[in-house]
Amino acid sequence: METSTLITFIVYLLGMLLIGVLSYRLTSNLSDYVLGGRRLGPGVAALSAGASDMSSWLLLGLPGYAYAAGMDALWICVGLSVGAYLNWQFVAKRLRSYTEVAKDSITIPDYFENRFHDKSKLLRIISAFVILIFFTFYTSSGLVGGALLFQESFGMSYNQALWIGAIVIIAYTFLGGFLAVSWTDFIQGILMFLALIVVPIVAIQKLGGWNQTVSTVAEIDPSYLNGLDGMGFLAIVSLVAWGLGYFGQPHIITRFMAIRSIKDIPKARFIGMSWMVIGLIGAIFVGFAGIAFFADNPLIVGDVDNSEKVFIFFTDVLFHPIVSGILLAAILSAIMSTIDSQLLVSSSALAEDFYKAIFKKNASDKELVTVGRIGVLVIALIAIVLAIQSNPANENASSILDLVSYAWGGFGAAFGPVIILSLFWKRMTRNGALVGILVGALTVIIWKPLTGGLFDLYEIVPGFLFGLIIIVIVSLFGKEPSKEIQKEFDKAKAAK
Amino acid sequence: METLTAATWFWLLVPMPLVVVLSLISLIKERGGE
Repeated sequence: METSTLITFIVYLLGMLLIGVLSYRLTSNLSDYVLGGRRLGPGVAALSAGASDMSSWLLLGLPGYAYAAGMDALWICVGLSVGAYLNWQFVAKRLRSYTEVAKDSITIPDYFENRFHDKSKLLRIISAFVILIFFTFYTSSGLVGGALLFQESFGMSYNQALWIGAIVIIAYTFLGGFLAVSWTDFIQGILMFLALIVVPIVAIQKLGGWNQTVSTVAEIDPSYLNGLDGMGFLAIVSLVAWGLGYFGQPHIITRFMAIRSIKDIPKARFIGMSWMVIGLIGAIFVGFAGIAFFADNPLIVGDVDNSEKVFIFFTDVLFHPIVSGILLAAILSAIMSTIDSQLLVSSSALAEDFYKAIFKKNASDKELVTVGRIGVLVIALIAIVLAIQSNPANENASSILDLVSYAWGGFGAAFGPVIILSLFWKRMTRNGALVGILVGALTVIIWKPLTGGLFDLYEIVPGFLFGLIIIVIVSLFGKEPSKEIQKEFDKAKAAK
Repeated sequence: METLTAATWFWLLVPMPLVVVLSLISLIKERGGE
């Protein structure tokens, strides 16, 4: 790597750490640490939700998929765009108002407990448990992505790259909490957005324009031009079903809870959706242009699959070293902005939902912030251990995409139906929610290893569906919720 | 000349931009209602 690329990259990392230190001074209690005191403006909330959502998948995974499969990659993008839109349109406003009505809840387990007046603590503990399990895998997948980037860019060993990336990320999550995460997410979101516009345009221009790019791709394989080629019904449903996952992702929907006012939501939704759609289309074209650009030196040869590095190779061959450094920083941004949010939600689950709820009911704010920070360290360490085992050089190591799709499906199925029905169905009961979380999570865990026929369907589909059905059945068989719960429901519904 | 199939263009350029347009419409409508 050239020195100027390295300097640009390091300046960026130092800038992110500086934000962490500055935010540290603005963080005085747990609500500040976990939700930034509910004072995010629409722009920061929108880009922060987008950047937390997309991870390295947007810059590495999706271009890699488009490189390997051509226009088939569009289906997952259609599903995600529609899912994200419905989430902003229906869940954001109601969740923002309901979490405030329900005793100013600051975490998802907190909201479940207060929404259903659950005094047994079961709902809180089980949902916090689901969060810790799936986020440890999710976080670990991001650390693997970061390690691959450092390894490829700086020529380090896998383990060295893993530790350096992890230390930087943990340092600023540890210091600043939500404010640091949201502001760095905002900056990272802008950087990712610019990268996904600039890279495909420059690549296509270098190839001699759009028509020339398409002709070259068609010469390699005309099926790359057809998004329906070789796609069966189950494959399309599985890809589009990724959109169902949005309703249950704690690191994304906590952004809705943190927005300053529900009046800011329409603006945030527009900014968030524009960012996402342009980013997704840009990512598809990065991979598509890559098919033509690397025609003479294909990235997939036999068992060696470097397709997910297509963006990294483009930054190297197309740009000046300083720009290349900025673009590599964009990849790290994507990884960091997701991991930091996930670590934060996990640490809040430990501090608020385990420590305060079970061990020390009257814990002070200062104590909870400290427990939250220790939680970030502990969870990150477990994720690092998992990431060491996921070194792609090892046999039987899980791929990044496998880990992500598992966690995404787990959250979507366990929390998605509960979140939607708890916001829009007054008759839903605590037992319904409890069984819904369990059935959704277990369906994903059981369905995942099964293959053949219907079992090739992405596990989020049956998980979400079974969860939804069981919640309705158990709720209807149970006692009607108390007058007080129903009153709170109406109050949240009426909020403007 | 080779090009993307019509169905591919449709799925690429209709549903995704449509959600942006819908977001813009509801932003304008809600601002008008204030």
